[in-house]
Amino acid sequence: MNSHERAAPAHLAAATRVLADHGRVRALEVSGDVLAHVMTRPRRSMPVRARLPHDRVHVSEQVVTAVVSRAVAHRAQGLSVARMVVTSTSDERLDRVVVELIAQYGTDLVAATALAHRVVATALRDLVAPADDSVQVTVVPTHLHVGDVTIGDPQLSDPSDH
Amino acid sequence: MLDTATATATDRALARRAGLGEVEAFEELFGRLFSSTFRYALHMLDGDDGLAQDATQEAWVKVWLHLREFEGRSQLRTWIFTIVAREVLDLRRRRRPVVVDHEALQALESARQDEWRLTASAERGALDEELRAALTLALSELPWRQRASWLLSTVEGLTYVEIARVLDTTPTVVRGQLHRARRALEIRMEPWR
Repeated sequence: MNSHERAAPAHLAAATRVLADHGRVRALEVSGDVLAHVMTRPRRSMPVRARLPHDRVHVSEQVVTAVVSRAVAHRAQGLSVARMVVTSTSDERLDRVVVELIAQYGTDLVAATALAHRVVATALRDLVAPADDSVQVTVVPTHLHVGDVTIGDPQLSDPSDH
Repeated sequence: MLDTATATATDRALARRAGLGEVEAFEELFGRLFSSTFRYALHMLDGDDGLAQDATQEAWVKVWLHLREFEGRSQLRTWIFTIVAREVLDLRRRRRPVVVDHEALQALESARQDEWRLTASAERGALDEELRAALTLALSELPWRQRASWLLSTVEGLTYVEIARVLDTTPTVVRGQLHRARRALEIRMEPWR
């Protein structure tokens, strides 16, 4: 309620509380089904081809994004991915990944971005290359930049929070 | 480590992470906001559980699919309520108009007064249920924008500016709608004083 508004009469306020509680209970009852349904809906995404020794597999661009952002979150302290652009060639080979980072205020950006380069390169190599190193996959980090800062841990807060 | 990070993260941080494909972040966000969105849909759709579930389900599918495009120009909660409000409105438009049953309200009021006379210490649960039914009925008599404004303000705690964004109108219009809604509800609920 806005501060200048007068309070509702007690009986209406009581009815409002009962109404709100009822809605909350019903929401709890259906939330599991709704969430399960939502998570079955795939986001539109470009396929990216990965090479295996005797086969090919396709992974979604979404998977590339999720794997890289998770790797940064786990292995590069003080950094978080803000957004990513994944592009592939006409024959669906992973071509380029542009990663925009958010850094916690006070982070040594030179050291952090160097670490992020390594983390991103490792995550991409692990994702698209076979485990037995039978195929050479070259990852050349070229574009990765810090676009904004947060006061706290960028995994927990966002620049637009402040 | 990630569980703690997820539980204590701000809504916007969760939205960013969920947009990048982190399912745990989306689930946390859903856990925080679904209840409010369902409740809004439920009361906008005359207490119809099935319709409210349909509306919120479609709305949250859109949230999941388009979270990457959320640019933070408004509060996340406002953005999500905007999507839910559109789904609710679409469902209402597809439904047949509901005729307000004044006799039903009279019967409710009469039953309540009878019970009050007979059992001054009536079961709290039964009284609550009647209060809820009476308010639900009174809400169903309000024009759509008044009802939406009242629910978003009084039940969900949104500001005039946030409500105006959700309902695609101005804060001044919201203020007027709220004033009329409160007045109408106070009159309609007067027998329960």
